[in-house]
Amino acid sequence: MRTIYIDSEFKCHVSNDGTMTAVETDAFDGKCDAYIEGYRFVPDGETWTRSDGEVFHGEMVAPWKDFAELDNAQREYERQLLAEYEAALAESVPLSELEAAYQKGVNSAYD
Amino acid sequence: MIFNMSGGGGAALNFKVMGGTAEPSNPAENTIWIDTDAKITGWLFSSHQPENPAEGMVWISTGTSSTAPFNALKKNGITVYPMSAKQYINGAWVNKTAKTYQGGKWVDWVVYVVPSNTFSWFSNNTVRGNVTKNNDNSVTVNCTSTNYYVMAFTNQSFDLTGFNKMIVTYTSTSGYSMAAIGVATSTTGTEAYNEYIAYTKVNKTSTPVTATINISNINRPVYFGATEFNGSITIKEIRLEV
Repeated sequence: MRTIYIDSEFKCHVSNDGTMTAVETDAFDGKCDAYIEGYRFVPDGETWTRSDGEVFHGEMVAPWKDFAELDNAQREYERQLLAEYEAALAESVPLSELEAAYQKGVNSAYD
Repeated sequence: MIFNMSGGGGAALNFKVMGGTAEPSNPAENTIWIDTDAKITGWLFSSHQPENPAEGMVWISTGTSSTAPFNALKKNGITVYPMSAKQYINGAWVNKTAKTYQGGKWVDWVVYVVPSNTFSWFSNNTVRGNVTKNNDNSVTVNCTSTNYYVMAFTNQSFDLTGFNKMIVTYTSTSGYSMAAIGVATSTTGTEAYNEYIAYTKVNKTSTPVTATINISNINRPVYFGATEFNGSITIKEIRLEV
């Protein structure tokens, strides 16, 4: 669950410029900012009219940007997260060393 | 309004209307296929529902936009924008999937995901729930596990390119916070809203409710899905339109 902000056209934002409405939602859990800001969130009870006159009632969530662009942004975000995770893993102490240190400590208790 | 009682085409016409449960083989350009097992006794292009139809008549509704516009005449031109097809069967108009053969491939008009013989559904967690197809061809997603969500998806994906809206009609016995109908890029989701790339929230209702999802910016294959919690959703209709 996170807080996003919607403008007068129900477009999503990750920060509030002072004119937006805050919305608590699960819809974007795990999604990067670029993905979120390509979406429109129409809350329950609200209505959005598309430029061709088609009317959509909330709660309705759908991309206003081409989804391919949002998907690419999300994949890049996840690739970056994975790279950061792998880098952190490489810097961590190997399990074998942890086990050796633990055993050394155990053995010293009996010295 | 173009009216023909023969069920096929004509010498001056640049198209042909054919029925059947499978796409015709070796179709000519602008062959219109109506997915039906009922005999087509005639067809009519009109923006308004015909009065006093004969049994088996196909009404092709027309508008100002279509995924498959065509010139109806071999000489000169009348551009027709077919939107949807219905057939008069046993005293009622029945929605039918229709396609036009253009540029070497079949082009969908309105696509029915429910009711449909093309799309089948499965629960991706049979411990939590199941999916059934009912006698009236509606689909029920039933959450059988207390305090867990169940997600159901179509086995088949479909490319939404060219379609601008997805219209769903449903009833629901629970309408809990994450109950929804939407589209997803995979069928591995477990329960949450963030599994869908577009959705409409499902509210508790015993009277069928119709909701529309904007899919105009989704130009890729998707799976159709539904999520329910402590209850069941019965999907009466899902259709895709331009």
